[in-house]
Amino acid sequence: MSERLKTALTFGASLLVLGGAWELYSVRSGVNSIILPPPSEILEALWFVIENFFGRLKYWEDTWITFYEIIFGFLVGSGTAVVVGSLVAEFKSVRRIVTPYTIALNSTPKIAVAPLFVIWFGFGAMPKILIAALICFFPVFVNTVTGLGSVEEEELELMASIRASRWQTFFRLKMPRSTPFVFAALRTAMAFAAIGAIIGEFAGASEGLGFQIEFAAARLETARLFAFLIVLSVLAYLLYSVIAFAERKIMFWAAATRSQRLQ
Amino acid sequence: MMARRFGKNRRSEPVAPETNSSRSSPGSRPPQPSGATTGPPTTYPAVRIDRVTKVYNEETAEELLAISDVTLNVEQGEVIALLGPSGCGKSTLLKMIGGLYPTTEGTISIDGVEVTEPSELTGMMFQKPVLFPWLKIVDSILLPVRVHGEKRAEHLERANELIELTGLAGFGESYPWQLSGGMQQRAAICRMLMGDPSVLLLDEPFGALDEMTREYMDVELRRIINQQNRSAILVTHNPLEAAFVADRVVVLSPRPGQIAGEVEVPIGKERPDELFASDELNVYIREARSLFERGRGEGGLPT
Repeated sequence: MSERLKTALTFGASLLVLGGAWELYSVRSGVNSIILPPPSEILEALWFVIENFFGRLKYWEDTWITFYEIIFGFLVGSGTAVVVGSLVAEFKSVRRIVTPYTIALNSTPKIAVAPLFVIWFGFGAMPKILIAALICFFPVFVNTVTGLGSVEEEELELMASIRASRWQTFFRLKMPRSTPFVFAALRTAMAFAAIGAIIGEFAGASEGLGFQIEFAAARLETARLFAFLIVLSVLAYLLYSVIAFAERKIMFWAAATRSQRLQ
Repeated sequence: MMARRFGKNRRSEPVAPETNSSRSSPGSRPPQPSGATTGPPTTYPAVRIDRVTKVYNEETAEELLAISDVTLNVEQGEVIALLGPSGCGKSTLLKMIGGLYPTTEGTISIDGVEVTEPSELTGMMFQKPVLFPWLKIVDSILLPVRVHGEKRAEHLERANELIELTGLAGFGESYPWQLSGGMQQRAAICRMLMGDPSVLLLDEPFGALDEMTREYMDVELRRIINQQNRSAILVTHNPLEAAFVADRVVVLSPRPGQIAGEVEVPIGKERPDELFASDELNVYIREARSLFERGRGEGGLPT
């Protein structure tokens, strides 16, 4: 039996046990299902959401909107972070200018600016994308700078000895060297982007999974709220998987060198 | 095509006649330019080190005199070893020859051209192979031409010849982490030769290898240098390695590095591995070692 299958089976079994315990507790204790709906009710609500995904309530539209808010937020935020991070790593003058701002940015709880973005950009996708981008920015920025600085002295000497230009040294040595750091941050950033998009929707929206969660909460439909949480988690997981897949393909060498270093 | 010098940072040519008129690859090259058709034969040594001093952190509290007043010539086709204890500045001297560090005082010339920055006339090898794990061996070897915008396909043949020459046949498509330390250094040799340098600068290239592999690589190194007909400077702290590989062993004193003495090793260019155990070589090893240890015992020569 493969390791993967074992993990999956163990997970399935633990899920059954936990779900069963939850179900039993909800039914036996008589707790109001507004507070804690039993899993059976949540599954029912989930089925309702799935039925209405392309049906009358068209939940696919909410999913699609949240999806592209996350994706665009992620791309804008981490893309900017890689570019700014590269400039900061390469140019001292840029570093001097940018560093105070990045410190200020990191000190500000980004969620707090969500209402401001709604004032500025209205109720469309724009403020959500920007909040997601803002939250994504920092981890990717920091790891880009760290990663580009992680080249070894001898590697730089080699590039100098073959008369590689600064540009060539950057693209052929520093950038590939930094990818493990950048990818580690991208995984975090993808999760952060989902947070940003949802926060944005909470601050003011009339569609999206975040809106549906808030809508369900306002009507005390806790089971449906759970159902949307599950849809959101599946979406975030799929996005995360894309990053993890890209990482495995692009960074095939990182795992190999790591295991070699341990020998 | 292969003989074309590439590169943007091409330096001013020496006044001397072209020495690389027809360099067949990776084959032999005359140790001295024939000169007969292009003018008078060049009189430039491969490397000329003229009263070179290196001070680190000049005019600060951490000021450190690393190299003091070193004068040394390496003739065309000559292989010398710079032998000295660790911290004597031998690597510093080598990197100054390679144009990686500036000299504080004095000048260094390669084939009559003063060194001010890394040049296409020198190729370097370091203690670590410095192969990028994301590049296949053949692409690591091609790096010196690729960084100058040359087409991969144009140089692939030469790269494969070098792979063949260094006994790496069949490993071009491998990644460095699939190779042993000795094989990785073979790839580093190929990369150094890819740039077609006239002087090879070897900074303890086998220092991180085990003893057996190191000896084997020393044999291979000298074979390759002979076959390619280059001049070379090998930095090492191992008297055996120095005497085995080099035509002349230059012993440096502990810091600040100064020339403590020289030992000629006039046993010809062929250095088969039987030589390691020979009495003949032993004489020179002993001589080099005594110079090496005398300097070390005194804790440096007076400055």
